[in-house]
Amino acid sequence: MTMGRLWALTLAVILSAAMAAGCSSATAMKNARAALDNAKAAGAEEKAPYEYYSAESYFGLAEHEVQEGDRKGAILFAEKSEKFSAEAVQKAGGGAK
Amino acid sequence: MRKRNLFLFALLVLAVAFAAGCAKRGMTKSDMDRADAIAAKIAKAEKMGIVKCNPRELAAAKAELDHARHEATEGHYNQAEVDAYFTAADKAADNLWALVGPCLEKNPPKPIAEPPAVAAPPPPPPAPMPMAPAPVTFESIHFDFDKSFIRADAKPTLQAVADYMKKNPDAKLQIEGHCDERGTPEYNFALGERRANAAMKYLVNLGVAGSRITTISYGEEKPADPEHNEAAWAKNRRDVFVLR
Repeated sequence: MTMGRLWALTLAVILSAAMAAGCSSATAMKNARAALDNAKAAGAEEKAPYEYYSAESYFGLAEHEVQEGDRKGAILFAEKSEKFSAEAVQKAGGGAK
Repeated sequence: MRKRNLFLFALLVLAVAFAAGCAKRGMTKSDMDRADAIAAKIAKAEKMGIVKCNPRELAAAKAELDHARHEATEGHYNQAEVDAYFTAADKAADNLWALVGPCLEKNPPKPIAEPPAVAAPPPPPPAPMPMAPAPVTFESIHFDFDKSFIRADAKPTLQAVADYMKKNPDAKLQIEGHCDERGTPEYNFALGERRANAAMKYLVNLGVAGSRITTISYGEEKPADPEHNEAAWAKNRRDVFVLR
């Protein structure tokens, strides 16, 4: 294998890894956003305010981490937000039907 | 050969960069202490029922603390930046604490709202007029500034409480610990707890089962006298006995 090919291969691997990592945080954010919207639609803001506002706060933190370029933090907080949204929906009575 | 070395060097730089990106620096002792203090403040506010009145602020305070902990364990920030995150979390917890007083006013804990009547055996009703049994109340006992030991002048009251509890085996007692307004809310909350526990321990030593007694601290939140002077403070440093 020539040096040029080796370089190209390494770059391809690095780019793929970076894209995969970026995609996973984008997916986590998308899921968290959807879960939060679902909680709101279920009336959780009124019926399960603590859980709903926790979800909202963690989603805000996840967005902050995205802006800071901390993918790991973004995923962590997005997942927490999603978890609270799910709890909020459950407490609010199952969500929009 | 030169090109190969350059390639290896570039790979090494990339590896270091990746490792640095994933580095965790671990929390310092001071970070941990600070996080614990903020967590304790939030937990106390939660224990006093803040979730009923201010769920949004409670959620925000918890998230801020989580954020500060996260940033303190990641390797991205220097100590000054981590401190700023903890300061934000501390401020959120303080804001939460400031809401505890108004919340307690709106939602007073049930045992405090009305001292329940004593469970006395119902007498035969010869008289046509129903007579409600007079509720039994006890005097509060008071404490020295920043102290939680039982003073000599409190002992007769505690003896009376113990006698009543022994004569009424179904009665249950709640001891509320209170403080004056000096000191931080969290310190006073802990001091109120020590005061309530001191009275409980004294009653247990007098033969009252500990399982019949509960304690609660209101810190400085429910003063008996709202004035800001030594006389008022002396009245506010107290334990209140509530029969349940």
